Amino acid sequence: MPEQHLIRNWCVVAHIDHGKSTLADRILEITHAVSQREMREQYLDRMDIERERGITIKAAAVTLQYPAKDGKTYTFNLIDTPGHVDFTYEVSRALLACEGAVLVVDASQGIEAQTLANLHLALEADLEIIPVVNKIDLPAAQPEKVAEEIQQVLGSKPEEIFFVSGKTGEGVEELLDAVVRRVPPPSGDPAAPTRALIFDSTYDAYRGVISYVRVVDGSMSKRSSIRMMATKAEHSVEEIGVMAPDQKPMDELGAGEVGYLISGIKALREAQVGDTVTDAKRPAKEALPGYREPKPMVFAGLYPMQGDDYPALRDALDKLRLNDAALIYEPETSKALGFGFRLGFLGLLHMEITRERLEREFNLELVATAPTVGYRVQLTNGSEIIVSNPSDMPDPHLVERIAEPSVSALILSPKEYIGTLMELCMARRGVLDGMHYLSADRVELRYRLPLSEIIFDFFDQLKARTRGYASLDYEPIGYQPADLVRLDLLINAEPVDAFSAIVHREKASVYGRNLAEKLRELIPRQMFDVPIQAAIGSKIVARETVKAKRKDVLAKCYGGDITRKRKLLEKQKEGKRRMKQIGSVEVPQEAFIAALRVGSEEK
Amino acid sequence: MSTVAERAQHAASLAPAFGVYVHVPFCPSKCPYCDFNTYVGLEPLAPAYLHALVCEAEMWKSRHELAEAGSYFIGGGTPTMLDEHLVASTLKDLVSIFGAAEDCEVTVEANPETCDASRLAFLREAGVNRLSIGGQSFSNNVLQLLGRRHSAEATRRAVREARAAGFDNVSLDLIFGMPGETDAEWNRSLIEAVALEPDHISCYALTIESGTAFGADVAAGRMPSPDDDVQAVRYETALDVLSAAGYRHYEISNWGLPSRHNLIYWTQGSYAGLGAGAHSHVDGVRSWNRKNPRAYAESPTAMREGEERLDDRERAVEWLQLRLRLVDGIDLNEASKRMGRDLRPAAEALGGIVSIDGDLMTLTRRGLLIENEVAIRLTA
Repeated sequence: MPEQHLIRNWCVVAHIDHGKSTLADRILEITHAVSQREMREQYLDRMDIERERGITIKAAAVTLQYPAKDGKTYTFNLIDTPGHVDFTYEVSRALLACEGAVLVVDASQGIEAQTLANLHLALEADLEIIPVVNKIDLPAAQPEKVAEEIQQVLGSKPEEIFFVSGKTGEGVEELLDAVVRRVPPPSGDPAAPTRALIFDSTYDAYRGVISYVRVVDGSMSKRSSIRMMATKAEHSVEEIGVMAPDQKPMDELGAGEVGYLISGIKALREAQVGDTVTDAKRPAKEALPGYREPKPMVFAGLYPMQGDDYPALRDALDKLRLNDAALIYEPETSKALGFGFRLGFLGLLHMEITRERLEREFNLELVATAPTVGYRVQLTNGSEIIVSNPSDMPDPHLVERIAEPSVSALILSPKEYIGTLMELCMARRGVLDGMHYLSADRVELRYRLPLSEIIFDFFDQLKARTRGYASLDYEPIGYQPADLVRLDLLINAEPVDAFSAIVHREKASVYGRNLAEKLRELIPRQMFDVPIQAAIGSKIVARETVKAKRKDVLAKCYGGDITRKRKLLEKQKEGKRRMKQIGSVEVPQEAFIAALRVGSEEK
Repeated sequence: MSTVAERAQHAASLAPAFGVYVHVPFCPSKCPYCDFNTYVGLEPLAPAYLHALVCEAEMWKSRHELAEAGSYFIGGGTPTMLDEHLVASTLKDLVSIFGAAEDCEVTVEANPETCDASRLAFLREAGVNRLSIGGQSFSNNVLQLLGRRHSAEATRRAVREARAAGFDNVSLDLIFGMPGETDAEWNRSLIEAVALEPDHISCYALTIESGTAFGADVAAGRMPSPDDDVQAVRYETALDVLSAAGYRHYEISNWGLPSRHNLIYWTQGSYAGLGAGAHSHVDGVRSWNRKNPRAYAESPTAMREGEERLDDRERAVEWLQLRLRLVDGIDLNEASKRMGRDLRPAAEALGGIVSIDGDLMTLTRRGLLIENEVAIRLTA
């Protein structure tokens, strides 16, 4: 067991695409943790989706041996944190497992919103920050300019900033020496009752739950009995060890150490991120601070394209939940879409990933309804309900008031785009909370925004309006009352619950018009006129008509090629089968998807 | 008053027991909308190709019990661009193989610019008794848009020449709905067509097929797609003008004295298709040849590319899909029997699109325009 003063627990935090994973690859090489033969890009990103999207979803820890210039060999526990706003809580837990953070900034991009957000989290966790300008090998690199931004934000001295290239390896060794010098060793009490923080858990089909832990006080050993302080679950340690970078079993993990823990837990719910592991026989009095239940922010209905896939979807969700503790779901029925589930997600990315995994890993074809947030609805009878499905919103006369979740958003952008960004935020009902210059030409904007206004296309809009230069991060800040109404969509005079939405009263008409217009474009012409109406209560705010189909094929069927005609008809029949039948109207899959992209802005 | 079954059989009963389709894959130029199996500049192959047709005919005759041919249809392509002597001698050979019923219909397709008097007279003399002229439009503007090389005047002349050559069964093909064509131009085309008093008129909606010049133009945004609503209006104009002129509407796209050969197709009848890419339906098997004319000329009896034998259910579905095109209508009893279920509820759900009179179901004016939809709904 390494002595505490020779341990350094640290992490790398960065904005997406600032080269964190590549830098981690170089560190693995320099410390010979991975042989040349085993090396592959983004070594620590284990899921396919992580590699494809270039983002880290799950935290990972790796234990490295680093022979420093002072002649001693240090044990590095390098913790890779998730890199997306949906996983802010997970990031904050991972940071708590560290004493220091390497803050990576791209030499050509400069400080971005996530850099700042992560920095704030790291400062809250009281970490020693080592600022690093990365990608200095790029032709467009402006390391001095970026260093100035860092000084401005962090108050660092110029000599405290490191310049590296994760690609070429330049400057990486110097950085590691700085980690030894500047990151303090852990200071837990080895004699106190055991307390270990779970900063991530994954599910393995063969071994059950694998938790990544930081032992804060005391120690944990093989076969000891442990207790999860939040969930109260008790288990016996089956295996304990470090990631080097693959699992290496050990007999014991002492105070200050980071490693993995396998204890026969079968579901991630029982080993929640943020929970404290203690010794069941000699339990700690108090858990480590800051645990909270995963809280879904965004909700959507997921329905199988083919009704008979419902059991398959249920099984897939049950399996997925084993390795995604944040995923919650319950059965739901839609008049339009049949049997499905309402799912709660940490955010939009979490939703996309979940859907992608369901389709890819379980081979399901799904229809998703528009994502929505959870509204707190105060009823006239005094009770309060949470509405996460627009069609569950009670009639207006039963509603006293509605509050919606809001977020504090941090936007960083070159100053020339401030005008357009303010317009965007205003259109999304944002309230400016503050603005200051990071450097002469880069500005930090803080806005309070309703979460519902940013879950659709806010990020895309932000990028489009700033030619990709602006960056965004946000955190939930509770509920705000708002004047909201339920907008219903009627196809052929029948309300279609899957298209209902909760929108701000002032924007409801425009939203309704945009949605009706979009659906008019997407619903193929039927044998009769199909009216499409948007309504608030009984008031129709928009009306479009899909005109009846006048003609199909009047072409020549030449030279007796009957086979071709029959195949064409078969194909058309198949196309019909792939549509959802709503009343007597056939609605294609794309209509549901496109409805997700309908905004509430005037065109 | 005829019975329902008789009325439903009216046009269908004119279909011969067996017919022969001959594909001539040569054209003087490729029209930008055409996706038929035709080639420009391949005419030197013609003698060998025509000889190969006869070989294939002999193969059919030797392998199958075939009724005496009640129709021949020499299509393409532009059969009239070939030496008429060659065409006539090929026809003679085919008749010696398949025979010819007493009232046998022998059609040759012709482009107006190839209809000179002596050629037509020769063909008529050789036994051709029906000429199908691809006039397409009587607006020179539309003809140009369609990439046709002839003028409206050439079509008028061709019909006159055909009459002079002794053809008492002349058909005229028209295409409607070309982007750029106006309602007035289409109206005039119909009126001029009627004024020529052909015995038969076909009207087809321009359809953009992939793999054609128009297909590429539409895909690249150089040309708009034909407008469904415009084409619907044009079709209704055709219904009005042609019925007012006394042409009997017997098939969705066809008016006048029925083409007995084409009736074979709509009644699931038997036909041998000779030539590159030709389709056949003999002894319940649909088969088709590979498309390459050179390969065909070399080995006409080894050209089969594919075939299919439909099961009873598929056959019933196909029967219904085809028979719906015949304007006389469908006997619901017979259709239900073939489909193995009562079609009446499905038909009754199509109010305004089909009309039901006792057991006879016919497409309404609206229904004619969406026959595919009706076919899908009745056979789903």
